[in-house]
Amino acid sequence: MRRFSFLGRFSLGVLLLAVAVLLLALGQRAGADALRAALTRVLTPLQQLVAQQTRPLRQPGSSGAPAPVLTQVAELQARVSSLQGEVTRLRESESQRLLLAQLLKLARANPEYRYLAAQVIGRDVSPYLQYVLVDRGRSDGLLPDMPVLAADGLVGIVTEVTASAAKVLLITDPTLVVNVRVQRSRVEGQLRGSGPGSLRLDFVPLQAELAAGDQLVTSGVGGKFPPNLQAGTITSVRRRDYDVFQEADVQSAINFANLELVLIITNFTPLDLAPLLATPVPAPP
Amino acid sequence: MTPLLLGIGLLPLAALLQSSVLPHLPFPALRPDLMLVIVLAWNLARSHSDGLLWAFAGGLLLDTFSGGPFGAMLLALFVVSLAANFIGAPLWNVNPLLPLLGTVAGVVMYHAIYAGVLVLWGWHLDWRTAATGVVLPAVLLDTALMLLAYPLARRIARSIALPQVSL
Repeated sequence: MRRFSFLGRFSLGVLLLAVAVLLLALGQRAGADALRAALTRVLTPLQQLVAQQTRPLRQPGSSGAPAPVLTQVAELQARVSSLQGEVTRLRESESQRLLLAQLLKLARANPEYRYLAAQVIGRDVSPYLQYVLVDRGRSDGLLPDMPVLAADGLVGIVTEVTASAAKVLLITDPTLVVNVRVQRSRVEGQLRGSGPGSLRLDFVPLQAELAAGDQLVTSGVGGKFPPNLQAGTITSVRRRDYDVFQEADVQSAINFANLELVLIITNFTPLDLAPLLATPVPAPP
Repeated sequence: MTPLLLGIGLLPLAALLQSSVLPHLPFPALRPDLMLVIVLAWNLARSHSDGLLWAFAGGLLLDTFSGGPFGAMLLALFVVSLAANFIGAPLWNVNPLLPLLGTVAGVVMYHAIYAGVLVLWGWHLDWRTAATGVVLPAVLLDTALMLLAYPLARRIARSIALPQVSL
């Protein structure tokens, strides 16, 4: 009996391991993608609920009053608790209003784009990846490669869309490269993530003028992002005589750990420059 | 309560907490691998096929909330759970330190497999930052969590285990 149980478990283990490897190999292909989309469809409403219910965790001073012993104290505690709840709700409304006002200001500053506001409902469960999940999806008109902004500048890019949710790759992820320009000196370079929450400016020629405090905006080069979106501020510059390029540490004005609301530009079409960048093949003689 | 029902209730909750709540707690760099701790504790406490099903379901849930390659977390979680499950609960119970050592090895193995898949799939990883900024804190935090999770898992596993009768 025990031997049979072990064999059964062994078979199950091998089978599930094979399925896991198969899913990984299939990657973004139809089967695995459909499974992921189905799971997302089921879990997104739950995630929205959890995100809403746990919002007070992110707000300081929102804890309730402790349980009282005496009746009168209990009544007063209940009253305090109720008032605290009211204050928390009002603070929440105020912070939401402020956030929306900031986003509206940003939208008015760039009237050529159409925006869709989305709430951040989750973060990547992997500590190596810098993604957030937002509560807007294909049914709201979202498509992959749409740029994402917050009130203080560029957040990232939409990479994956389901019917009701989307994954946004943050600019702090090392895999996302943003072409930027230094506002003061008009020098161009590449911005990419260099660890959780930090950014690095690279590929800036050694003789170019670069200093702490310089503001960076997107250059629009490469066609992936619209130009002139705020990307960050240089905090320190590293320049070595034997290097070809200089590099700089950059601080984004966005607090990526507490991102709540974002704006997605829905009418920006990224340019496909790949055919223009291909190396020409010489014609046969 | 059967292990299946327990898993249906517990695993989605763990995935939701890991995605929506834990990143917002103070010290965001200290993010425990909640799903790994739960699934590993169950497999350390109970060498049964349900532990493998938990690992599979847990991995799928994690991959749903991740922007990484689909199946990467599933593979990492499943391999670690498979190893814990096949070493067997009786061996883990020999010494109270063994489950903790198993957790340290499991967390390192989980992160190594996951990071390896990411690199194979073209992700850029700074190994030194990953080792010191992610794996080391995860080992400490997950092992500390295991101090609570393993005894709890053992207690639940004992309460649902059928009495063994030999003829």
